[in-house]
Amino acid sequence: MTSEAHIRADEALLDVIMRVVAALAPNQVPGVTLDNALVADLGFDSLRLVELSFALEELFDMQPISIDDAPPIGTVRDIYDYARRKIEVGDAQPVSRESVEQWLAEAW
Amino acid sequence: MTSVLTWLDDPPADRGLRFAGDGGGDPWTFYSYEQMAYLARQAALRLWSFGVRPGDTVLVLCPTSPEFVAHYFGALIMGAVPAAAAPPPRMGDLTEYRRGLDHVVRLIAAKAVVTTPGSVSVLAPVARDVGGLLIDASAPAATRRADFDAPAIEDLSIIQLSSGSTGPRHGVRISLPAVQSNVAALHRWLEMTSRDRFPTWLPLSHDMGLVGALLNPVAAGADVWLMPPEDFIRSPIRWLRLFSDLAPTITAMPAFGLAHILRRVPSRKLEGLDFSSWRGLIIGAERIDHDIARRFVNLLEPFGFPPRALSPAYGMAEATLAVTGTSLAEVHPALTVDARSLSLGNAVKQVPARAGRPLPPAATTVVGCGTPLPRTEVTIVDGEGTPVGEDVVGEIVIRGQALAAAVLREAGAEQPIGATFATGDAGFLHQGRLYVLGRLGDSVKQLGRWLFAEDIERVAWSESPSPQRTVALLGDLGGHSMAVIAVQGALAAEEAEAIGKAVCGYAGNLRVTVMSVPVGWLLRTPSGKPMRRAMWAKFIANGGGANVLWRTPHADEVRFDNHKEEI
Repeated sequence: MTSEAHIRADEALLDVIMRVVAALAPNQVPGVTLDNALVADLGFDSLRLVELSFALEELFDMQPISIDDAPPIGTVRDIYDYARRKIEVGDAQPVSRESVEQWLAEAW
Repeated sequence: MTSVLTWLDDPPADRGLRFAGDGGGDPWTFYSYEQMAYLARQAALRLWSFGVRPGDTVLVLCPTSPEFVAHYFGALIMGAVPAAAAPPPRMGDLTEYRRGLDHVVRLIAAKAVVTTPGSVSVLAPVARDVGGLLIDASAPAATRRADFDAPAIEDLSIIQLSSGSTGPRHGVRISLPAVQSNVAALHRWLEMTSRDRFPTWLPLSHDMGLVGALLNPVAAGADVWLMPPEDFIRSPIRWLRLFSDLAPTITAMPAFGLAHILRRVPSRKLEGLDFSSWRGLIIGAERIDHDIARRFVNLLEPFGFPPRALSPAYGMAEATLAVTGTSLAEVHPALTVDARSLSLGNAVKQVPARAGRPLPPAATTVVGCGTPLPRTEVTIVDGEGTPVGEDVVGEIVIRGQALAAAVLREAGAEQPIGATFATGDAGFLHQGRLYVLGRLGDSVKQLGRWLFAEDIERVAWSESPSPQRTVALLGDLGGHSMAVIAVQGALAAEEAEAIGKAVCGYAGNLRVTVMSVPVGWLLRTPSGKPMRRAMWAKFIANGGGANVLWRTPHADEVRFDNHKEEI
């Protein structure tokens, strides 16, 4: 993949992660940012965190998530880095924005 | 008396437990009671072969699985004391989880921790630290014979652990006769029989999941479908489809389960489903919001759900589980009352409903939680502990055969409970039914009247631009009772004034402060309950960056030595 293609893939992943996190966040803040903390800023509680882990699993076709390999409960950027790393090593598949919208419409 | 162990002696082969699969093939794996009884005896041998002896405490830390059921009953078969704790969560802080578990292992002096292969590596450091045994539930037993006699029921006990939203975890020790008394009471209340079909998604580490949704139907010999809590969170519609496909009769869940269904399941997804077999849905574990209950019934009733099936109940681990429950023959009652009449020791004033006219701002609707179960007494007492009559608010005190023997707050220190238990919950009796108002810890006593944070919060929500990010705190400061309304994010001065005046209009002489708070100021438990005591402490300490926008005229008399904000 060229560096330009890399950048496009990263931007697409970023867009998808922001969309999913914003859709599941209990606090509907205007304009989720990468530095928003899941719990403190966006209001994620244990129930919503489980929902988020299932969303990542289903959308990116990941293996079932367990606590010793779970996404970190930090910022949106941490979730983005987690998904990116999983895709790089082949444990997850890229997903398009259209697929996310379809999934949200069906699952939510 | 109903025994929770009788089924082990003559287990039916045509009924049993079904465990949810991983989504592939048959969604359920059936274990007949005959098979479960065999697995429970094998588990008893496994525990024995690893060195567990009668009287030892065994922490069962398995997900919803045949291994959990086998080892919970296996521990009882050999005279050990089972305690159930939640397995590692899907997503969480592993260090924090291990720390909490380490506390629990020491608190109950666990001789062994039983878990499934997937969690052994995660739990190994905990077991090593406390010198306990970590037993893989799938490991072969090293012996086929064990030198233990069937224990006498009166010598057996269990430990229930409580997560609590304001303090560290504690446990309660309950004798098996007390457990059986509560299960027998559940059977009479719910008219449980072996023909019942009982699905559950509740965690088996929780009293409602363990006693209400496992011991209760198992003792009745009913068919049970067990789904892990995560599966319900992931897909509540799958849960609801159970009621259409399998025609189950009865189940239980906390009030937040109803809210989760309302959030995730639109009416269009229910097309074609039939809930008419549902004769009981027990709601408990937290204060029941009348509006949530009403909306849930409205969602499901067009698809056959009988409104009388929704049965609010009241209980706690200290009473094994259930204290009161609503008859499945009646639609649960709700009373609209003038919240200003909720004075400790004073009469509750009902607000008459008038068609077409909105309720006054001070009106609040309280859900009835039914009548005391058999062999259970409920008394309402005032601030001095003196019993009061019907329609008078006070603390709920319970008495009965199902009370726990002791509370475990520190390792090696059990506090006996005695013949009665003061719950710390406020409520009143009306026509023999209990109405629960809230925790006394989240309230203040003003001129002999208890005010409850939940009700103040509802008043604030009515004026707040962000109800979901608005929290009410109540406490005493500088000799005055205060309400603090914290709103996360931007708040205009006139909006703050509207909130403050609404609360003042509701709460009389209460001193009210309305402030905007930065992101991260509001604290909630993992289940979403406001951690009011912790936020109150932050408010008193230094305000935590809060910006006061409105206060009642006398609030400026309050001073804090180390306060950075002008409050």
